[in-house]
Amino acid sequence: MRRLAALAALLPGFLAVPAAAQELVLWHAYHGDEAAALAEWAEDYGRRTPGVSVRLLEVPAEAITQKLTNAIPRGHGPDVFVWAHEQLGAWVETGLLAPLPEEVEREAEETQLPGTVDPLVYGGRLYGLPIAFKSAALFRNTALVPDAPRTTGELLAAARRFSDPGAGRFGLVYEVGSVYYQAAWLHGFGGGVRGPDGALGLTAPGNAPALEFAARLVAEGVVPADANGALVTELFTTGRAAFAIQGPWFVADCRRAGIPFAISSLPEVSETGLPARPFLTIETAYLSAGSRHPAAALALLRDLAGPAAARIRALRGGQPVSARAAYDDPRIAGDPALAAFREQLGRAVPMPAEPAMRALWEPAAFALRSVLRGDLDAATALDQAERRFRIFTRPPPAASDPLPFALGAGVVLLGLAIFAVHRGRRAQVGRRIWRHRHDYLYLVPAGIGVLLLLVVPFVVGAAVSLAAHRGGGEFSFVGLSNFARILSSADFGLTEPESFYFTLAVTLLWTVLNVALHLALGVALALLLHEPWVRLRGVWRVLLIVPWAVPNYITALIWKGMFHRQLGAINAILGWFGVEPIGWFDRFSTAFAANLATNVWLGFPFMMVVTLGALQTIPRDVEEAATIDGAGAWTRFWRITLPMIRPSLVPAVVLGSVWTFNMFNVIYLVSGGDPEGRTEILISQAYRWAFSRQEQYGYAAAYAVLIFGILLAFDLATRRLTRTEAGR
Amino acid sequence: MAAVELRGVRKRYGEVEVVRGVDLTIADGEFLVLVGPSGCGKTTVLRMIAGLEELSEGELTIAGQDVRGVPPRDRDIAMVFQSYALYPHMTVRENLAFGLRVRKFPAEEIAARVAEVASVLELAGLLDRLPKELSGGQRQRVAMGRAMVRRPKAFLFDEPLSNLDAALRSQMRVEIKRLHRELGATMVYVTHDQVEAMTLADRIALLHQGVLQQVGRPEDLYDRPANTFVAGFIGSPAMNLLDGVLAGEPGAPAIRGPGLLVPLLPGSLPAGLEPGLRVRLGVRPNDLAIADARVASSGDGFRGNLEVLEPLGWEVHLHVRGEFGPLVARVERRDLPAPFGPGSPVRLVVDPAKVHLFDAETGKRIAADA
Repeated sequence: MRRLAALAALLPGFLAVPAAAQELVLWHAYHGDEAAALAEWAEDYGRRTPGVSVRLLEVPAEAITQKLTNAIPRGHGPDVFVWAHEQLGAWVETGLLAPLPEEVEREAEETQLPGTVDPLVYGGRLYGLPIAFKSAALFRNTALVPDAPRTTGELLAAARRFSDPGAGRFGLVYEVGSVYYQAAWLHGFGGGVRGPDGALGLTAPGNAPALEFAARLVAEGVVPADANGALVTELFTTGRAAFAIQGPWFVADCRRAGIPFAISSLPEVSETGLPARPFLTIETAYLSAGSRHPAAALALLRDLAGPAAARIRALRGGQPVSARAAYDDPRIAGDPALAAFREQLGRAVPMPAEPAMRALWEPAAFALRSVLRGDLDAATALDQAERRFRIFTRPPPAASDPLPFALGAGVVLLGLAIFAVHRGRRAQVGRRIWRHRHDYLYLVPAGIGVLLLLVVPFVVGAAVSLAAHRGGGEFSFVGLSNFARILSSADFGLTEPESFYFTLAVTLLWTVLNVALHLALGVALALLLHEPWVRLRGVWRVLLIVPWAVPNYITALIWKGMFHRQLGAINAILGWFGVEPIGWFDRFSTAFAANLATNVWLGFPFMMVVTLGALQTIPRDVEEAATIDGAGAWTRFWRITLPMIRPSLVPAVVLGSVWTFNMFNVIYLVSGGDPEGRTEILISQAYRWAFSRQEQYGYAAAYAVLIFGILLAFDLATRRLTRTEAGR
Repeated sequence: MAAVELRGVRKRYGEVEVVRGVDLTIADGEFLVLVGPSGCGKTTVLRMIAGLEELSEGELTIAGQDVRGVPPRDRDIAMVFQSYALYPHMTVRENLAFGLRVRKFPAEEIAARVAEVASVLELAGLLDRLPKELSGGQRQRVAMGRAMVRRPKAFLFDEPLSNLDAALRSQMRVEIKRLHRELGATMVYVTHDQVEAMTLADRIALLHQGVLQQVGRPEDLYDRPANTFVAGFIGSPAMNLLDGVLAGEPGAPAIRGPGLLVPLLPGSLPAGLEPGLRVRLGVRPNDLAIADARVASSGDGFRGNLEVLEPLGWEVHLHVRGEFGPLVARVERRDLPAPFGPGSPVRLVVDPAKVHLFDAETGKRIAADA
């Protein structure tokens, strides 16, 4: 009955769709005030526009590009969506976006602030309308520094006066290791992310001095090393920093903290006389190429970029909006923060929207951080970064003819089939299956599940490893050349972190050390908990299982925080013993140790639980017999306990090894590969190839196939080992 | 070889006292059986001797040496467990050799001792098998072998035969007895089975609720049980215990009770007992005989009616009920009167010399020689 009622309730909804309003779907990644502003506008628009309703869908920022790429070509994407302009080039290339008519372009040029429309033009056509813009600017605590500095010389002079790292005070705070913020110095020193020929790259002459400038800021103690967003907020909003370089999103934090602050444009670089120009991103409303109501969607788009909508976003969401007319409103014109960002807009460089830009961040960040640490001089670091960038963006290998491969695979499959039929006929498999056909029928649902969830993805993944793919492009068949490149270490020297063998060595070290420590700690704790004199055993057991019960990415993020140079608990504890703060992710050994500590914490409870279970199976008598036979605790453990729990431990070790070998979360979230990708393991390296180096899915899939091969070989080897032992 | 001595030994687990003051001296080379119903504390006593449990109170010496606080491995004793407690991942050979190897004996010595024990226990063909490949009896022998190979001062057995079937059990009893004779070692053997106790022991120590009831040779416990508990525990079928009062003249004492009148031997009672004293009368089933049917209606003995007749071949167990309660008699089949079946009236008589008397209050034996 209830089901019927639910059905009846749904029916009018279905029927209403063709009859009444056109529903336009808008995807966005806003939350908080910005999302509220959007909702307010959408409601208003629905009221003003008969026959149209707007449905907003908030998509998580980290998922929105993936979802758009998947949904739009299949016809169930949004009509309109809002996102930064950096992906525009890739989206145009993959056909996700519909170009806007020329009169809309002309209108936009007139009604939007200068500099906000040009970045949205790709190949001569306009592909979206700006609704807001974002860039970094200089925040200063006006209680500490009343006047805005005009040059970096003035900035540094004021900053140095305030800096006292020993007392936790810094003249200037910003995310110094982030290329996004560094871009301002690159441009200020005459460099940038384009070479003299205009192509993406790091060869511009001003880049080396810009990196050295940043390194000096850290070396002098004016800027804290390893600052992340949380540290910047913490220092500036508590008055322990004179200046901060941050974006519009920081305004709300400052207002909430109630400190006196003002925002100004980033200063001129004294050495060059050029302004420090930050990256500019345009929040853009796009028209989906898959929209079923393009005319209505275009009208919606224009309204969203128009002055009424802009006023709501500026007033309610605090966003620096791009519509000129919005600034006629005295409340918006009078907002000093919005005014400051509008001023900075005139001295900002639009983020390149070409797909290749996404492969530049990682090498550029490696170069920046190695210079900040003092590991490399700026020129060498930039050369290496340029080389990495060239390799990441090199054209895919030439497509080869799949026919020979298909023939070869066909022959192998045919051979296997003949062999299987031959064996099957001898063993009368067919007749046996027929006799048990009803039993097999029950297995069909599980079989379908296994087929769909395991076999098909595996076969597809393996097939992808034979193809080449570049961000947004088509797959082309390249045979085994991905494997050849990886295994011959063609692009990277053996000791470079991106080489397969270096990563493999790190992965093996990672796995062996982890499993050994898991086992040692797990068995030791289990033996302790098993002792009859331990009180509150249940409580201890639960407490010790907690690390395992918490989702591992949460644990990984907590440990990442604990290893932070300035804010982390570990350095704070070491500080009590007079140890200087350690930059855990500056060196391979300490970064690896940090990963290891995190994963040991995550992994020992499993071994402990397995061991505790196995210990229950040892009769007390046997241990007592050994005691009376003269065995001390040590001998008892090695000669009696361990051999008896071994059959339970071996599968746990195999399983633990496979898990650890592929423990992506810890590597990605704790060290993130730092320094310079040296702590990456195979699985996280594969991820980089797939998602931060121009979506080279084929290359990444080849990594995955190799990982599978290694683990399969490991499993077969241990299986043989345990079988010979059992047969003894 | 060594004597073991317990003085005032007590064991408490929290509030519960399971061994309540045991004094026991086990002579060098003696085979002492600790017997009692389950939960009487006998295994705890054995484990305290082994060093697997601490004493809560009292003293314990092995070969004259105070072993309190001495770990099991330094007491030089060996123990055979009820479950055998073989090391499942080791072959028979490794099981036998383990105790010697951890004590760092030279390899030749170990091999020689293992071979010797294997031949004594007929394990020679099984040395390379794992325990799971052995039968119950073979495992039992390995467990014994593991104890023997060490040549300890004393052997401790904890119900070693209880997991075997009846036939194997009686066979192993003989085996253990033979081993004791050959080794001449001190052995302390725990069992709840009074047959094992009777057949194996040089002396039996009978434990009940943590208190020693009687210590002595098997025939002592059988012939002169110190109290009603011992009387009921030793012997199968169990001794009949019936209520009665002391009656008759001083020269011709007797016990009178409902449906019973049992004359006693003159001089079998200690002096000074008042007639009318309430007693427990103990008679073993095999000391009863069917009285001549012709005098069934009069005279002394136990008068009742047959309830059940259990034929066991040569002998017959009679379950008789009278005013005194139930009574079991064990008689030869040929002694049965001609028409005899459930409901038949029967009078049973006993040789006055075989009558046991116990104080009704304390349960203690009443006898001139006690």
